[in-house]
Amino acid sequence: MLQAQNVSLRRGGRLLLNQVSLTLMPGRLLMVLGPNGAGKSTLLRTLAGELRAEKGRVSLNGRPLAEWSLQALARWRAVMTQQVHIPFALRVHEVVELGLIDWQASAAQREGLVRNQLRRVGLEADMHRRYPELSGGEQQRVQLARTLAQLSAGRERAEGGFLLLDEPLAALDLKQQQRTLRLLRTLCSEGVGVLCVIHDLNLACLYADQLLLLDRGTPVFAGSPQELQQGQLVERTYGADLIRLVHPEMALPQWQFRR
Amino acid sequence: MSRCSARRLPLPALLLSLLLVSALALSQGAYRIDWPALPHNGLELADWQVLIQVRLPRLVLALLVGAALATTGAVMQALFRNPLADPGLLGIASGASVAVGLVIVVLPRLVDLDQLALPLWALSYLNSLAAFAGAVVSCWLIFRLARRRGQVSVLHLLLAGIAINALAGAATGLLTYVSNDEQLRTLTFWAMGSLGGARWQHVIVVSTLLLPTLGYLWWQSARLNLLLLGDEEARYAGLDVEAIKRRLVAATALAVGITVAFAGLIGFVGLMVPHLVRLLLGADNRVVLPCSLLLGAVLLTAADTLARLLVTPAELPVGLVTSLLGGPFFLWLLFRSMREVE
Repeated sequence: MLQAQNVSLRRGGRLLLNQVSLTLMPGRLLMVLGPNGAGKSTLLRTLAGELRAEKGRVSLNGRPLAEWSLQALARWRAVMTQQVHIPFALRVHEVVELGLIDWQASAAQREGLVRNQLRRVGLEADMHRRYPELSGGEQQRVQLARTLAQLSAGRERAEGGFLLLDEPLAALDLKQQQRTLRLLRTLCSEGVGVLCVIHDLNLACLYADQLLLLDRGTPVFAGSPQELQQGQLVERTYGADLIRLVHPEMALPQWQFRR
Repeated sequence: MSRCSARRLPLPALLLSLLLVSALALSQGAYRIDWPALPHNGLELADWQVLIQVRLPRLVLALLVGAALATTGAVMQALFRNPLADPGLLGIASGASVAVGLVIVVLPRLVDLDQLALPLWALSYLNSLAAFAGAVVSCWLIFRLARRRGQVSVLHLLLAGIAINALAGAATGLLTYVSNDEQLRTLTFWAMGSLGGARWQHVIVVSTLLLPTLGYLWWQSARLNLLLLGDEEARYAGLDVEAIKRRLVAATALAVGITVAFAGLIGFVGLMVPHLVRLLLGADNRVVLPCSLLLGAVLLTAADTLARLLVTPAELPVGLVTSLLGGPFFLWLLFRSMREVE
């Protein structure tokens, strides 16, 4: 269980996070939404242990994050940041293998695991290409494969682990967005807890179990997608002129621009 | 993993070129050994002495220094996440040389070394220690100057290198100004880089310090790969980035310091060799490090043999030869990276 309790964070006099609480259980998909600068990435980095909360506490499986060693933490949670630039021409499979760095295993085991993760993101055929030559979207999928490898290393499955993703769809086309979102659901069904920062409100409502809506560091909504349609919360938070619809197959709220 | 990368190491080719270059370095030189007559006459005493007391220690020193320069180049490039990083360009080597210069020129004025009657090996260790301190100070300065919010900018990196090299040049100039004739000769030797005057005592000091350091760096090569992701991502993957960087910088500074203490400033090996290896075999540091180590040894031995043979019976400083090779290479690299930025 990944848990934040009343987490606040201030940087340079600005309050970046204000009393944020959330609980992510294994097998659940939590998506974090909010306008630009709402503190989504800051929250993710705080949950990952990169930033330390000034007030409140973050804990993983009941233990405060500060008590975890980096190595132990890496076995239980993996993090994918927005765009990872690698200034050298590593091959795709070498990048994915970076997730397995401290794992004692045979070459065959490693290769099998790397291959599996690349298959999951649809890049198995590209495993010998050079990373810098890939498109931005492909690089993102390689990084996703690397975090999955990290989470599966040393265990039969990624079960019980947590995956934190910062806008994993940013550079992807429609097909790859759908593929990635479906993969996240599959991971949830395998017992991984997934927290995903995302821009697209409609995709978040369609795929998430829980939503957290931030506005200038303050949580303004936490709950299921169905509950989000009550009131004018979305319109007010984003300050946009929207029409509310219902997804024809799933009976979930969706929003469209009013022209 | 180990089996995987072992398959990609072109060990036979590298070892063969190492043997060839070594044979060339031993057999050729200003002093002629009559090789064709060898089966009839055998080696004379003078031949033996040249081989064992002059050429062999020089060869071993060249191999060790070349290996160290190339390996530290590869490590710096991963550490700074920049293919243009090189201990010479960044001023680490010149920082070390200033410290050695201080030991040569200033120390005798403070302490009477003759009275202490230190053996040669103790003096050699003293020089290495000073060079290490100088290298560490330069490393620290570069890190402070070139890092902006965890990212190293090429511009700041090269500017820091220029600044440190200029400062070191001024300091060396000042030392030259106050030194006596004998010290002057030693200082000039340092500025240009040379493997002449290698003795077994030097070789022993160098190998006791360098071999464990290079072994450590090789052992860390998988972690170097992780650093390529960036500090934050490497931490998420479980690497204690600050600790590993401190250790890598210390080991690099030690290795660079030793090469400077015993061979002076030999530029561009650390830049050229890892680049060639990456071009041929890819960027995986588990391959780049051991191959750079071997290829660096080959390249410096070849350059040193060239330096001895080009103007026999005199010899060129080997630093001059590597700079002649490396200067154009660096320009080409700079042009290429500028095109990439555009």
